[in-house]
Amino acid sequence: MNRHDEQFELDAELRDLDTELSRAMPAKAPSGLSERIFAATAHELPAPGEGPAVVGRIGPCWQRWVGFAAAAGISLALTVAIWLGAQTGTDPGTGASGGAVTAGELTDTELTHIALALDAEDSQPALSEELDDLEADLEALATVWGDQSNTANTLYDDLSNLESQLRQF
Amino acid sequence: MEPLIEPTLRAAATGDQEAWRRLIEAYSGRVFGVVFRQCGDRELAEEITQATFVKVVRTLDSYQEQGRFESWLFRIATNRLRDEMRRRKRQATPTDFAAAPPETLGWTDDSEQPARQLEAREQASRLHAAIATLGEADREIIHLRYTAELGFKEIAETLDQPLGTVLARGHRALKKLKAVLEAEQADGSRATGT
Repeated sequence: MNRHDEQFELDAELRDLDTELSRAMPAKAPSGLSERIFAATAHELPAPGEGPAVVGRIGPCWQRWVGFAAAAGISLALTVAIWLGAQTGTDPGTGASGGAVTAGELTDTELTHIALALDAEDSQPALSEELDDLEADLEALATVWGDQSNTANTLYDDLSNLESQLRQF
Repeated sequence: MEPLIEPTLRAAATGDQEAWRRLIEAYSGRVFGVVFRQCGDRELAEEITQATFVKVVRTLDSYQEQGRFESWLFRIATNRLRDEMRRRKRQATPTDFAAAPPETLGWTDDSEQPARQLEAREQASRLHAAIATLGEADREIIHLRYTAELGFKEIAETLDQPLGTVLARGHRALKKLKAVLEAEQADGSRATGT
């Protein structure tokens, strides 16, 4: 609490008023308010040892979503690859059907799907980075919006003051 | 006070409930006082005070404005109050100080002498009534200065205005308040014939 700003030199005639206000204005919270606020907010704190709560942030949520989507994509691709292999594969013992595959080898289709799955996995960090960048841009926009909002509020107050002064005049 | 708050903030951000309780106890009265004295509605003031702390606890992990906690806290509260007043499409109403709970009027005189308590309460009511006649911007500066107990630097950060502007407005608000009090005193003297 900085009650005596170096930049603020009061006129002698205003010092008494400043002292009087300093005594009269501080307020205590109504009885029980602190307890009610604590009860309404304590559950929002992170559990000790689990790090800070992640609430209302875009990044981690989207990153988890992308991770989940990538894992689901890989699983799906592998399932399709295995299913296609079962449909077109050959008898490992004789190689009689199709004639292109020998025991222990993968079909071209399987290889293609596995390559696609690996590509998807590789692209996940890049997507995460892009999302981080988008998050930073959004935060910057929010800051600019907040500044403009504050400026608008100030202008609004000044106009209100002017209006009341004009009415008094 | 700010340097002492930072370790408490860090502790609260890692889930220390006692640290969070200390923050609430340290600031809820000041936040409530600033809001209540500007809107004159006790229920609304309690609601906004609680909403302010909800916002703080939800963004505690991203708080990075080292040494500016008070500005941050009161900016949340004052912005919330403005939004709410606009949403309700009404101007701030003068507080009914006669019906206000004593602890919210300030001048917390611990004297056990009833006469002294009564005098202190009357003086506080007189000041609050005079402040209520000022314009919204002047009231805001006065309350941030004397109820929130912020320095002018913190007020400038809270209102996002240049320090020079805030200093000038603070000085002007005090002069207006003094004029109101003097006019009231002159009226009182004429009425009693003294």
